[in-house]
Amino acid sequence: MPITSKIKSFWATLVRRQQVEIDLDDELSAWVDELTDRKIRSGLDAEAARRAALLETGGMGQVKERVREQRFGFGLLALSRDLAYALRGLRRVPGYAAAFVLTLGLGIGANTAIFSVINGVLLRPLPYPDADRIMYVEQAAVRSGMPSIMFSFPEVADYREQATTFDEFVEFGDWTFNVLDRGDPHRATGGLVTPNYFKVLGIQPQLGRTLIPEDESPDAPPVAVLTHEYWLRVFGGDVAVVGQTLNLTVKQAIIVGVLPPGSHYASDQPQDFYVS
Amino acid sequence: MAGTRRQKTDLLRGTLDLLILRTLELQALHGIAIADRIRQLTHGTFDIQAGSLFPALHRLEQEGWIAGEWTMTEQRRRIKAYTLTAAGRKHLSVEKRQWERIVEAMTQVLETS
Repeated sequence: MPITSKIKSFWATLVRRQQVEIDLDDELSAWVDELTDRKIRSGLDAEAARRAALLETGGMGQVKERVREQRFGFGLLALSRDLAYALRGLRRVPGYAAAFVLTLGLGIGANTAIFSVINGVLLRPLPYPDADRIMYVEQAAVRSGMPSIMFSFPEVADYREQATTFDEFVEFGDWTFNVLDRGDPHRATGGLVTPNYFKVLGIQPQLGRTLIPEDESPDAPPVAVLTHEYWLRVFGGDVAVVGQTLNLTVKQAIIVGVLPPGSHYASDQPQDFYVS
Repeated sequence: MAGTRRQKTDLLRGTLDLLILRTLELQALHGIAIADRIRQLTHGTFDIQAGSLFPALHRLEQEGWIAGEWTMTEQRRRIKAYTLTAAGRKHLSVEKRQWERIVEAMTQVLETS
């Protein structure tokens, strides 16, 4: 069925319902009248002719119903009639209706809540490329009753050397720094990460660069990569920020880059910058 | 053949559409006139009742194959006369070919000795 006549029919069924009904009445009346005339011509009196004509037509109501069923949107109309009927029925038993609505509401609410959690925790992929291949590695000290303990440097080195199922091992941790010389002295969260953190999570810098392996060597100057949010908040989005010094009191880090907007944190705490 | 009364036969599914489209290809007609014409063309074999005709007419109108227009008869009766649309003409030729294939195939089966 072409879409235009579908829409027309739909419109007619729902909105121009009365006119459609009148038209249908007239159409069928013309049929019955003509049939009646023929019966009169063949010798019946007017009343008998009309009765015979109606009988032969097979019930105006039934014919009309069959025509209505052909119209697009009829199902919707029937549905709305059924709904109205159901509502009328419910209004007659308000207590039952209230319990019914409450039960449905609680059920739907509980399901939505559970789904929201499952969606966030289990279903929604991490916002990184190849997110399904990123794993969080934990270890537990069972006998000491510690469910999650950190890895020592030699442990990480061992994993990195011997593990064959992972391409890369990324280390990260949080540290709170005191920042001076940038407005009021303030505390900021720095992510201590290995340079491959940015490679594994697929993060490209917006300005400058991220960390590189050379930044890890003991005699390399300390460097920092700012998150987009911290860069806007503290530096006012200054594009000349790369090369400036960030006074962290324990060290003077050279700012080498700024990250694009978005939460790129591997931990649950938002970071302000990353240092190696 | 005129005047002889043939035995009435039930319509095959789908043939009513074809009959209506073909009837309207010749001229615009309203409800009972369509039934009359079909009865006349088939020499009484097909006697279409209102309960079959009107649902079919409305379905075909919805498909866009026929278009209804209201007019007055000499008896001042408001009637809806249907005409074949361009889309209906195209559909009719498709249906005709389909029908010819069916008849040919059925004939082959039934007349094989």
